[in-house]
Amino acid sequence: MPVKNYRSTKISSEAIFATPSMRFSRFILGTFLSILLIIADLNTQISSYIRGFSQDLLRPVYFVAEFPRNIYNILDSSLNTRIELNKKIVSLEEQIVLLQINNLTLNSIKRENTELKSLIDKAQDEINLFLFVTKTNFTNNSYNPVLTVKFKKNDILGLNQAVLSKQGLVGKVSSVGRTTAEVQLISDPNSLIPFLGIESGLHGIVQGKGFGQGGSIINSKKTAQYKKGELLVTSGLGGDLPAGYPIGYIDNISDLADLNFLDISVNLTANPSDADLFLIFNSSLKDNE
Amino acid sequence: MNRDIRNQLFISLFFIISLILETLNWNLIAGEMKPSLLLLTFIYWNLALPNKVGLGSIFIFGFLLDLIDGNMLGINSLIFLTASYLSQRFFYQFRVMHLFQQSIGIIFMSLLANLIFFIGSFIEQDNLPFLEGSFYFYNLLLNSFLNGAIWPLVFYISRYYRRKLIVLDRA
Repeated sequence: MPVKNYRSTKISSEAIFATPSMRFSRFILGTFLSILLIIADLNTQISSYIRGFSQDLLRPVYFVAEFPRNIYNILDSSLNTRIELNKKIVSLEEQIVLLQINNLTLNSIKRENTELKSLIDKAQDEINLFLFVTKTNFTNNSYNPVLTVKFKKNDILGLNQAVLSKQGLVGKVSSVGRTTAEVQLISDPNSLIPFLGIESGLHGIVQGKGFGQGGSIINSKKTAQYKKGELLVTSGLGGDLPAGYPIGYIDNISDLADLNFLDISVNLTANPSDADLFLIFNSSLKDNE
Repeated sequence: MNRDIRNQLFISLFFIISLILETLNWNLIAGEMKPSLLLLTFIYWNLALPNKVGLGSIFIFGFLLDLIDGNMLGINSLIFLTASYLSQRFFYQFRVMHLFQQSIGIIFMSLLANLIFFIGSFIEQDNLPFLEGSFYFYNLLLNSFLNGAIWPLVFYISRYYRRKLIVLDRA
């Protein structure tokens, strides 16, 4: 017969109903301190100074939080490895055949190759302008999406440097710590990105509408000739962002009678939740060149 | 180890675990309506052992959540403070309620917390363009109901470990 544990150490003599509740004065003091902190953060942006460094301290928390996902990824990749390798062998065999055929025409394209080599060398030089960073955390709050990235100790990051993924522009560095940095995404409502329309050739500014909500072109004249589906790229104006990287596509253009400007919504190309590796464009190195 | 310090460490461990669970990578839709585990844990410990939860832990964990979630500093501290004060103020009434009634109380407390959070975001942003065509309000509403729904789970798990780990002073 199970014996219940009636150890006296588990029985409290504290009369729970006699426990005093939080005094109203303490509540008022706490509220005052919280509001003081909010006002200080709003007016002086103190959080941007300490966020980067505090993210360094919070890395163990992120490590634990990401642990289940990492384990799942490892298991998933180990289970799929055999099938993927077989697919890779087939595709490599196809590539070998293609290369053999291409080799036949090698002499005729020798001259073009020399030109291509010079282009590749130029691209290699440009690679040095970028720093590789990896994602440590991503909070997809609609109104304030924040990406946290980790960089090498020797790398020097600065505020407002452009963060890019393989899909295009992701955002700008908003706070830098010792080895981590916070990125303000282009979908953030506080983010304003100068762009150039590829087809129309028009310049303008894209403002974020919150994560998952895309963006919109602000203060666009009613006579502007944007096209639906037009690709918008960074214009490079202002100096912080490099020119020519995709921002998004024009999703919808509406000319409402009660508005002074066109209402243009933009589908942003880059989704930071899909990527783990990012590039940071070091504008200071570009200036030095 | 001093019993008080040991108890305080156990309670802090609960808060840390809740914080980590809240930081887990949730997808886009679940991101806004995910249950506020840290808030529920604060409410539980304020009801269970009101004298063990002080302004210090409210500010420390509120501050940490602000940093992780990218909110303006102080907003989560204010939410936890309000929830803690209400829990302690009405805990005579709350403790004797049936668990289902407690869940309804939790829903109202979460609605209040979300209202404070929304006012905070409204002050922070000049305009709220993200609200256009989004399910922001529905998600906040759903978050409150989810908090109410998982309250019995949080309550039983926390109570089990409280009875197992926390030893109060003897007479």
